[in-house]
Amino acid sequence: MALIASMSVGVIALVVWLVVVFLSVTEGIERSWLEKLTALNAPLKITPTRAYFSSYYYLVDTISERSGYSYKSIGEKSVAPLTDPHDPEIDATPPSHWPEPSGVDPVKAAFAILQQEKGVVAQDFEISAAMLRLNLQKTQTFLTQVSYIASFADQSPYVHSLVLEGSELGGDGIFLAKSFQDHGVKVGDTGYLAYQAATPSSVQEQRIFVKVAGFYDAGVMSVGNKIVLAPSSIVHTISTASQLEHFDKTQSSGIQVWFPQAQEAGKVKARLQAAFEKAGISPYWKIATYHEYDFAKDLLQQFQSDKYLFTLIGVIILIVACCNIISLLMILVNDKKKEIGILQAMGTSSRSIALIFGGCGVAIGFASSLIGVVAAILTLHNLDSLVHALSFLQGHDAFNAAFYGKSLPNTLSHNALLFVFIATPVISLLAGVAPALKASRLRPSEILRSE
Amino acid sequence: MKPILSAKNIVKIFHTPRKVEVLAGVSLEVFPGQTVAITGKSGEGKSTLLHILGTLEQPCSGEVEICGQTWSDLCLVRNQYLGFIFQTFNLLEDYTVFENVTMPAKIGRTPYTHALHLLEEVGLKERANFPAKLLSGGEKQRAAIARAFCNDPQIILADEPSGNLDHHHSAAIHELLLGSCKKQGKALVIVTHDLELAAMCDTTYLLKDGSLTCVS
Repeated sequence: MALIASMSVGVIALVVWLVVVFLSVTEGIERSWLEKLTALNAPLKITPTRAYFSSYYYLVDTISERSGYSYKSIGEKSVAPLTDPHDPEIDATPPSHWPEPSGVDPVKAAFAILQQEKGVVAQDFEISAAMLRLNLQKTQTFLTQVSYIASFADQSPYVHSLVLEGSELGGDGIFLAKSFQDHGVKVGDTGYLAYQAATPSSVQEQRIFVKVAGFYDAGVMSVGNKIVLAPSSIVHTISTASQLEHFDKTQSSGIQVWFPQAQEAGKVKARLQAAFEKAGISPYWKIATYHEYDFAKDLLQQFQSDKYLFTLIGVIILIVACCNIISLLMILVNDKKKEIGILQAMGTSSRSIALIFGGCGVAIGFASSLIGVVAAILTLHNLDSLVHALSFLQGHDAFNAAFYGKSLPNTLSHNALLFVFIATPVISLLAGVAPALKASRLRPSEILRSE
Repeated sequence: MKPILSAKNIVKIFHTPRKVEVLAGVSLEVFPGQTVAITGKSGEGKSTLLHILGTLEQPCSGEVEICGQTWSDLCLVRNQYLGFIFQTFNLLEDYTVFENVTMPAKIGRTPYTHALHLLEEVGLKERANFPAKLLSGGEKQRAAIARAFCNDPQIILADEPSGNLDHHHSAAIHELLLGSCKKQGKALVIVTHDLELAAMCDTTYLLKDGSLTCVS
């Protein structure tokens, strides 16, 4: 009996250990991915819709002397002193097909709403493209790459988790993906960003001198490696001077929004959407959380699905393991029939008998959970050693650093603990129901007569 | 005087392996302090009748009144009004003698301050902390008697209390059991083959062919 009980406890503890370790590690990996993703792209982005580019307040700058007769970026619109720069006395009359001014500038209104949100930090961004050419001091060679140039989010509260150690924050240098380090690029290397600018008579190459200020971790999103983070002034210069016509203008600029808990992106989005609706600017903006970013959506969804699938498998294995409890308690009921009969003859109720065996099930489940969790804590504590051992046996890295980081996350997941300490005793209790009913339905007369 | 235990027209039929009417309308009354012996051949249904009287088994028809009423809470009746003594002792072997004797009180959540006195009465005070499995047959039955008296019940039901003991120990157990019942004014219903023991009781019944007949 003791051997069977030990085996039951052992099997359940093993499953609990597996579930806790897996969920803790996967949760840690997901958290790390999200930290990098939201540091680079912000947990929430507000991008202009096609309606914005057809709106009066976007178009009016092209006919206004006070706006230099050119389109303004979202950042420029947000700090422009005038909501409507059009002067009917100087400027041309707006074409008849343009919409009438509503009196609410979508950009200024959006920033005003964002300023009212508690704990929210917002910064406009622009994306352009240019040829990066760097003179590598170490190898005395040149590195050339066509790159996306994105505004460096210097106001992001997560900027320190984005840039790598040794980077120089606060200057006007550019930040490259950490993969550039592998090609010999060092902080302090200089070069230029080249782009084509149209003049009245021809198209000429323009160059902006740049210096490498540091590197950033692009995370698992491969698109990150193609992006050069540059001060917004540089990005804006390239955007406006190169007259680059984007395939989809709605993705080339916008507002990045940060807040303390990235997981609350859905709630913040709902609040902002409601506020935008109220202000009448919702047609001009698309609000997207990190779950909806095109480059991250599939990976995050797949990761979530894998996690749910494993949790389901964990529950099934746990149920199978807890079935041992049924066998164990059935044997126990048969073994203790005489004692059950004696207790009933002395006045113990069937309910109390059932509670004893049901309680046994819960106790086994709880003890197994405890053992499994302790084993999981020890495993997580020594995870690096285990991974090294596994890598040594395999002859190569067991886990790719590009995906999982230098070392696997080893923080115990509270969700996993909650899951285990609720699921295991509940399943154990259910497993104890049948033996408990059997015990409670035993007839003392039959037992004591046969004894 | 009102009977403390009354059985009216008890019928018990077993259907396996074939239909056997073990008790065919048995009636019995036991008064406070009365000692009653039920005798009969093996298989006549003596233990079945005792189990029905002790609410351990349900009759097919008829009713049992304990202390003047029929009870729905059988656990309470067994714990507070009845004390059982079995042929095979039925002690909890892994527990000590003291724990066995106090078990009914623990189940009923009643005080058991007199447990040591009971053990002294049955001559087992020195064995109080012994595991029950280490006791001899006679000692086990004495422990079972002490246990039956633990909650100060009105009725003691004994099923062949000396069936597993030799003659010497049987006599001692009979003396102890009857003496304790008389001394404490308890009613005793005892099922036995032993005619000597039956003769020591106030009333003796013979159970034959499902009917109970008073023989003395």
